[in-house]
Amino acid sequence: MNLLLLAAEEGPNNPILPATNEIIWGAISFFLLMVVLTKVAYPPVRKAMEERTAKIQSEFDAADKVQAEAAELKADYEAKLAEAKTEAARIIDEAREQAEAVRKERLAALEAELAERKAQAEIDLAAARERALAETRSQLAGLAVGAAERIVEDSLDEARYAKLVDNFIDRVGSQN
Amino acid sequence: MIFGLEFPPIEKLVEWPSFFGGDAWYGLNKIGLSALIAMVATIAIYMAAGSKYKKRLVPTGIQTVAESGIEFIDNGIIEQTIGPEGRPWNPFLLSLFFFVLITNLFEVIPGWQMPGNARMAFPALLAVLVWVIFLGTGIKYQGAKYFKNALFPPGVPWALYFLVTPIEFVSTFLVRPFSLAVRLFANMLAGHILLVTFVVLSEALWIKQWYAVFLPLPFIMLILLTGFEIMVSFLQAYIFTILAAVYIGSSMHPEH
Repeated sequence: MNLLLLAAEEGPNNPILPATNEIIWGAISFFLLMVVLTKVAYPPVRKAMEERTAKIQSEFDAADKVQAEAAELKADYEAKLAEAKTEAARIIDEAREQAEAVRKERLAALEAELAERKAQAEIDLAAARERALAETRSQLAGLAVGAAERIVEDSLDEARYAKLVDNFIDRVGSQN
Repeated sequence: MIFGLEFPPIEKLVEWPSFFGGDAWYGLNKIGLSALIAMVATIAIYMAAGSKYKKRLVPTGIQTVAESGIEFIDNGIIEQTIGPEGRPWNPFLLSLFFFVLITNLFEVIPGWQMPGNARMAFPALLAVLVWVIFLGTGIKYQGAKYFKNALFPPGVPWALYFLVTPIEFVSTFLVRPFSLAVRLFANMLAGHILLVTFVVLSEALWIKQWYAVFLPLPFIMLILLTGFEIMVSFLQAYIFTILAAVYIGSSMHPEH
């Protein structure tokens, strides 16, 4: 008996050799599985996975875009705010300067007016004093002359008369 | 009889009678049925997942299973072996992975307890299919140069080709499908026999004798090994798929 015949005879009982019916069912099952999976069952799952990946990616992209926009908006707003603050500060400074200028102007005008009035008052005062002195002098002279004429009954010479008046005026002036 | 134990002959552990058809070529037994169930289950998972997307794009339940399968093949297998241009291989590798995984998992399903790949039929079938595919891919991508690149790797001194070329021929065109099939088959058969061994030991100690106190030992071992075999089922499905991807990848890019 040769080896081939032995193998053939042992065929169904040899646990190492594949059995025909098992190969047949295995082949049918595996080829069906391969074909149905590749053509029918697999593509929708793969497609959905890819769609989901694309969707998530696009959502991330959109979120990034919105965030960038918000950042831009914020920067814009902050820039405007800073601008408004400097503008406000500038306006306040200007107003302060204007107020200061007005104040100085008024003060200068007031002082000028004050000085003018003072000068005028001094002039008036001096004039009044001059007038009063002249008046007093002429009255006193008259009085003194009258009184002296009555007392002395004789007229004084011009020099003594003037000296007498001056002495009197000095006395009166020092009493004032 | 080993130490008074009645260990069943190996044929009894792996050969199953047909539900119908008898010994005919179309006879459907436990092994064939596990392949059919693997096919139906995988298609059902993806059909159910695919039909749910019309309502909402956010994955729940079965969609998570379907998607993690696809992503596992994408990131865990294709990216590592072929690169991003290998994406179109995803459905094929996915079929391979789920088919091997589910037929493997019948090893631990109570009442069934027979891994489909502990028979040579599926591993041999799939290995030959992978062999045909990576040869076809090589010819499609590189034409006749594929054989030249595979048998005469560039950068080797010419005298060494007397040594290298026969080795490359044997390893690429003969050993690849053989090792692919035998690795899966032997691992699952070994796991199956291991589980049967501890079942037989536990059963032998299920007696009214004083040494029945040793029953927990093989039984705990049986439980632990069942968990281990679940891991092996995943691992072997992963190894089979990633090696298929490696072979396809090496056909797409010439060796450096």
